[in-house]
Amino acid sequence: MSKKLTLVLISVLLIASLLVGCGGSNVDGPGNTEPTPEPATAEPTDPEETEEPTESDIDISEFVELKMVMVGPELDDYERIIELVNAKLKEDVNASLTVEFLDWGEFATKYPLKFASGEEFDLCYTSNWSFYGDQAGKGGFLELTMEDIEKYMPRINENVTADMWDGVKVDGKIFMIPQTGLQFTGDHNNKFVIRGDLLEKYGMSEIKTADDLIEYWDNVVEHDPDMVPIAINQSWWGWWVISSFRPVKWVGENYGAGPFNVYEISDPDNIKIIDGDEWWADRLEGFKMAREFQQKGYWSKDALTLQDDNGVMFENGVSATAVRQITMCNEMYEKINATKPEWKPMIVDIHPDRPAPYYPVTGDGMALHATTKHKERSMMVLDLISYDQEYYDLIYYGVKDEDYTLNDDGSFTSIGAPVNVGFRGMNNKVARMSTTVAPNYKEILDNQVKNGFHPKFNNFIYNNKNIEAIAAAISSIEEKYAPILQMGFTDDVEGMTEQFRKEVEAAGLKEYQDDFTAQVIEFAKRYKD
Amino acid sequence: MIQQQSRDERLFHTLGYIVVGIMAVICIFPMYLIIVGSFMSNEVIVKYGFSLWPEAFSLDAYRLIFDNPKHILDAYKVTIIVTVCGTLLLLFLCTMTGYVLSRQDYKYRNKFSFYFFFTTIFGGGLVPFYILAVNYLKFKEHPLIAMITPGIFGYFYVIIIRTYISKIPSSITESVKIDGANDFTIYARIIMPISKPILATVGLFSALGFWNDWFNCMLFVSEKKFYNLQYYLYTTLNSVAPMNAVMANANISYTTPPTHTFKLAMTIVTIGPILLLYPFLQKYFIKGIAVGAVKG
Amino acid sequence: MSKPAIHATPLQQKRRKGVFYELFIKHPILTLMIAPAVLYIFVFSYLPMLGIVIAFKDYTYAKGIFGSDWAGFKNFKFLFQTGVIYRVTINTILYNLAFLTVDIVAQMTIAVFLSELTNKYFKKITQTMLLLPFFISWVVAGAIVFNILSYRYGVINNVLTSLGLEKVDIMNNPTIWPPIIVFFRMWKGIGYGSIVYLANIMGIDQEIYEAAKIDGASIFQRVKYITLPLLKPTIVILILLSLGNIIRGDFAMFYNLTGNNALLLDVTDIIDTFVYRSLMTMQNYSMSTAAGLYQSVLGFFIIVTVNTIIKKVQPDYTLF
Repeated sequence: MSKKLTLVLISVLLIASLLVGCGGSNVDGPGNTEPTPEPATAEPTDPEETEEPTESDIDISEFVELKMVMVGPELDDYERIIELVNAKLKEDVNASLTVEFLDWGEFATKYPLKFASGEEFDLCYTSNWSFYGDQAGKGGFLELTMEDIEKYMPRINENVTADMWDGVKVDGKIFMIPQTGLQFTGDHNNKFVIRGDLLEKYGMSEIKTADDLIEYWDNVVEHDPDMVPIAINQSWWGWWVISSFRPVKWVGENYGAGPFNVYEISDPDNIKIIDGDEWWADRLEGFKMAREFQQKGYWSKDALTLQDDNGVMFENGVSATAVRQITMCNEMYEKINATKPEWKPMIVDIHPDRPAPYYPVTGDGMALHATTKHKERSMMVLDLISYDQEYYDLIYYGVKDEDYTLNDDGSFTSIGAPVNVGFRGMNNKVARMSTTVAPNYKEILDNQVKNGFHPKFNNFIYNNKNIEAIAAAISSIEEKYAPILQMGFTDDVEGMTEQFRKEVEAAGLKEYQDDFTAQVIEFAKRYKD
Repeated sequence: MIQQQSRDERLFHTLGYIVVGIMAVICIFPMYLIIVGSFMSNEVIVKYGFSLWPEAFSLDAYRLIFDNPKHILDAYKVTIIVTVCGTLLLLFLCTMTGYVLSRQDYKYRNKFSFYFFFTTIFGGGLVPFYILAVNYLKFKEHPLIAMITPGIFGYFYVIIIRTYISKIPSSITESVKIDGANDFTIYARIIMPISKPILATVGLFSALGFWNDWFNCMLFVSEKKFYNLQYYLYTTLNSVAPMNAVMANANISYTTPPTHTFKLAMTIVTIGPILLLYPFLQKYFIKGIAVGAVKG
Repeated sequence: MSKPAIHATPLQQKRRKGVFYELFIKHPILTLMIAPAVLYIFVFSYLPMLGIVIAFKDYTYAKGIFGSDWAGFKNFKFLFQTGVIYRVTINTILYNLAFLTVDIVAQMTIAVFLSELTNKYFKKITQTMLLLPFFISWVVAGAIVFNILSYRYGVINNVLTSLGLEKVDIMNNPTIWPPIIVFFRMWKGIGYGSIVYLANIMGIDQEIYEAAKIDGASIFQRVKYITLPLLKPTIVILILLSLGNIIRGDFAMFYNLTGNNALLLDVTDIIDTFVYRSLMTMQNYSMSTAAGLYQSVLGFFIIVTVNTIIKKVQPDYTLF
């Protein structure tokens, strides 16, 4: 029976594919809404540009409703604020904006589907961690030309430097409007939030150095058995903690991390690669320290399976320290200080002199959907909401004198609970500072600026097209060993590190690195020009 | 002889009460933990875990849920409509199919079975389904249809219905057939009434399926008033941790992540009503249906 | 699968009148009755099934599913890049076999007891209780497991400390996890699964039992010689149905119960968790579809083989 049946099935499939094929060969990709079969990425701006290049006045006679896809949950005051924003938008550019929020839990599923199906929307969030390079390569975004940017997004054009535009280029094309906020990164550059009340209890005056922090943690282990010094539940938390106690190595403008190696690109013609024994020896030191910390009880034996993350555990009084970047430290400080002032939270910076890499511009940003029908208006709206101070204030801080008051120095003070509307992807220069920040926030931030540097690598977007299979295989190995080693859960650190190395090498690490290196060389040459 | 039998029976029953009783306790225990936990303060749960008695009794979680009762009531409404319509449609479609497949004289029944079965193993994945549903079937514009239609057929259901119907003695249908009744009449008048236990089973399964579904709601529904209950629960369960290291570095400020107690309370709120339905169906699993009665 | 020629009867020979005759002349009403399901499956399953081609393509949004460039078997490569796939495939099959056995035995035991017990209230209440775990999502179930096994405040460790014993690190101990997973899977499905058996027992003609009773059969004999044989078709069908998906694992269950604990991977790694770990840092529909297709094809071969064997032995029990 199977032969006949298979025939029937195949013919059914064939008929179906014919139906689908005839009915809509141009309907299943995002190209569906355009009459031209041309893929969206291939210079989609050309025909329009030639039609109206000389017109200096932009035609906004037709009212358009724009749709924006945003990441994160719908925020509390969204409906109230968006109405006010839309009233202004109607007046300024004859458009309105609706936002679809993708909550964290559904983001990973829904966001790519929206591109795959060619659903209609105009604007969307994008960033390196939501696969900006990949999405752009697959034709998900509309290319932004400098002419368009100058014409429709003057404010953005003013704030985003040429270097930043360079940093978001994929295959030489711009698909993203990057963030310009003051943010820093670096595993070695994390700050800590600690509890002043515990510090007093242990008779310690302050925490200035790494040794002080260790002393504080030892005290927690000794005097507060119900607590843990610091809670970690993912491999990177472990690495952040470890990196704070290890010497800074291979960090600087010209350094950049690759797959199990580090590049030094000061001379594009002679790129240095740190890998193999040297790289692994350094990792091993870190893993050993992780093991030591774990055994001292700095984090819980449940760390590998813990559901609550570092911040939640700190907020709920289980752990005595939170670790994160300075801006997020301050956010944590403000939250704790508002709800539990008796804890006397404080931000500590155990390494005020460490080099502070700026956060990559691709870390947060906005893009236009490849199939948007309202390119011009989308850009104009984006320009307004992300850099026009009036719009920005309205979206991020609410109505003036109703939700917040403006101080002379440009900072703001919330009236009652802070308004909660702000969109991600627009963490920009025009952002204001709250008056409830930690006393030493500004000082640390200034320090970061002083030590700040822009890693060239921030502008490098790796395309793994050639070695996808290897990257996937290595990812599966890394996810297996990294948590155990970076959180110190094996007795045999050396043996497991050796095993880890052997497995990634067997999976084709060399080929991966070679491909990566080739792209780095190309990038370094381009960067020099 | 009689003596022997009743001793056996007593032994069997004692064993039964013990086994079923222990299993039931094992099943209810976590539920108990969840209920107790939902009445505790979140801080205590993060610190000390669940406990047998609500330490630091708190109604915060429920207050948070019913803070905006309109949303939760809307969600109930949507879930109930979808469950009822979906289950009725599913029962109709699956029993009819199951009946046809049970007919020994229907030559191509095995081929049809294979046609259905094949789809339980092979699937095109999410993307083509989403494209079909959104671009062609316009699911986004009809949220209720979007939540009902994808779930109204299940080969598993068809199979258990088919198996059940196959066991009905053919003598019952034969006699009616001679009277000139057509196939549909036999299905509707004879087969369905004596298949109540399996109808109740499949109906219950289907209702549970629709009740527990959040995926279709997540995919197709963007209007808040059409959110169903499980989707509410889902968003509270899954909105916490960053997915990878790059994201952890992205300075994302998570707006107060939903708390443990909130998750637990939501679990309770979503289970309640469907449990009320259960006793009504239960009689079909408890009382035997005497096929013989119909035969006569 | 050749035609079972051995069973060819005069009746079968008479049937050689063509598809059209069989479907539309001989049984028009039956055909009409099955048509809605056939159509439904065509639209909702077979049409999207064409999307399988993206497993063989370099899928890009701009070019769409059918327009993207062909990639051959490139997207399958990551599965076989290291030797892990063989281990996780075997893990998946072993787990599924364990689930199948334990689930069936437990569900049937409960169903048989429930059908024989006489106390109505006991039956009603316990049955409801047994169904409860079905509603608990794996996320919450995972939290419960964590609370029982946790080193810091887990129930077990609390008991141990109150008895003056040393705490034990259960969470990170691989050996005990397979039984834990099998147990919780059984726990979640026992109420739900037993209903199918119960309904089938209820469908058994009560006269048979009465007759057996009069003949002096003990209750054990009645279960053994009446109930179980009559449940056999259902059991066989349920086994067959699950065999088709024996290469598929419940990702949510494994991920949440073990808390994605890397220390346990040697014993808890299944295909679905392996694929998740492999693809979590990229967004690649082609590769995930390829992984799904690998599971489908393997499952398909297993089920077709088993079905063929059963057709030879017990033609009544076949799935198709």
